Amino acid sequence: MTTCGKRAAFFLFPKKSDGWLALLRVGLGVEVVLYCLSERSGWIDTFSSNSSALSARRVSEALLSLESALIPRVCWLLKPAAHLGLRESTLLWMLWSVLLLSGLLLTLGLFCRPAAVTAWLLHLACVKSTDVFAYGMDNFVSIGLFYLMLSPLPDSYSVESRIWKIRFRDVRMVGFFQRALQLHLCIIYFFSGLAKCLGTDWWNGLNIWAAVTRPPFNVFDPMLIAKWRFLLPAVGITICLIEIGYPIFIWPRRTRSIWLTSVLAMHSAIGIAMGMYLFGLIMIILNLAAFGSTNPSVFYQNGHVKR
Amino acid sequence: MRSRQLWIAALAMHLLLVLAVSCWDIVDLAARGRTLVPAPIASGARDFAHIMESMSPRQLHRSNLVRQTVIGYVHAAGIESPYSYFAPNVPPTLQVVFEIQHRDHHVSHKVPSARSATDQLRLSALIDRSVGEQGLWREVVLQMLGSSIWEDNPDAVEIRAIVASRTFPGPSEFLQGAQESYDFVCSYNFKFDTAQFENGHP
Repeated sequence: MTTCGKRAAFFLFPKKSDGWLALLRVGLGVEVVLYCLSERSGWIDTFSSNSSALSARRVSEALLSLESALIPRVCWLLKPAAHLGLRESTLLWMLWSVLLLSGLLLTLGLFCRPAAVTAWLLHLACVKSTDVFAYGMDNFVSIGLFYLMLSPLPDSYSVESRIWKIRFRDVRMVGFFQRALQLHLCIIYFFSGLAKCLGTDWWNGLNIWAAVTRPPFNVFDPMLIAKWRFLLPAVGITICLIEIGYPIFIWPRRTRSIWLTSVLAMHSAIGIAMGMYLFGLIMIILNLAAFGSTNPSVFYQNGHVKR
Repeated sequence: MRSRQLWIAALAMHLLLVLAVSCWDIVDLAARGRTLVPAPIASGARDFAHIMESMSPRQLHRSNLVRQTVIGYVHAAGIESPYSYFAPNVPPTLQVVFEIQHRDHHVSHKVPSARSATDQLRLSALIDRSVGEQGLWREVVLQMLGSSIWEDNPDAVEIRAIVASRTFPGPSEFLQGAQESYDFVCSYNFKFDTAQFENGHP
């Protein structure tokens, strides 16, 4: 293997503890449970095929069929189950219950792998079947569940590992999936920051004002924000810098804690100030799992590979 | 060692798809003149956008296995959408109001309602994504929203969807007492029994 290949393999397969995986599992379990609880009141109306001709599910699934036949959707799960003679509403509540159960099992750390695969499949099917109503949070939960499902489960912190004394084996594969999440987050923040930097109103703070005064994000009284308007340009520029600088400054040991703290503060502020609690939570979970639990800067220490 | 090479190849393909979706989004924003980039670069971005579009699996026939697999995979991994939230600028807020004409000739107004705060975010995202630009998708979304209004008002003979763009004053003007204003974007009249659409534009 060439030196370059060895360096790439060393970077992509570091020996890592599975603390980050436990954090991702618990965080996503909580997120799935909160998703189920937040959707509970409109669950049947949203997914029922008996509602109006142009229901969100019908429109979304018709559009999905045009995209690809391989995208999971709710009708895949309902059609075979309907042969048992159960009513659609019963099946939909069963779907909701199984998704909730998989979220609870992930949080507790029981049957981690089947729970992760079930949560990923059911959450994806539900989100895709109402894709017209999807927003950023759904995508990030799907991303997190996708990595979790493929990662070496169960982690050593899970109840399952403690009860059945399952030995934690492949430390390098644990490191590989954390690297995948880390690299993915770097791409996400870089492009998000770049797109903001290319807009005029992030530099003068008007986009911050526009974001927090538009419904349904107008949680705070605009008068209060207007009184502190002199801070808006600084906030706008800071967000651009945090995001575009993320792939550079999150790796070195010296700047990592500053950048991670800044990103967590940014997502907490978005969650609180704009009422996007679930979005804020999933971003905090992904960041903590990727960069919060272990040392990611081995590769770049002193500009050399640390062995 | 071989399994590691396979994992590296899989990760490279995965991240390449993430990069492709993200790059396409930036190039598309620049090509449509929605960014700060100077006109010559925007023109170059338009050419590049055409090249990228020609390389997209969406150019393949719908039944093509490569297209089905790649698009299926990006959806399954949650990587089909770009990450330019509220960028390059926060889009104007669009508001939809339904004017309902009842059988007894009285007229009432309703806005699409949500059951929870999360539903409100979803509804807002849908309206922002689909109602801003003219086309079939806007009509489908308005009819979808209108059908739920019609279900709540079975005595409605006709429903008119009115779309307006909300302009909120800047912080300094707001402190001086300026109020939000609304500009008419479009309206659609529809009757559900005949599924008939008439649309009007400013």
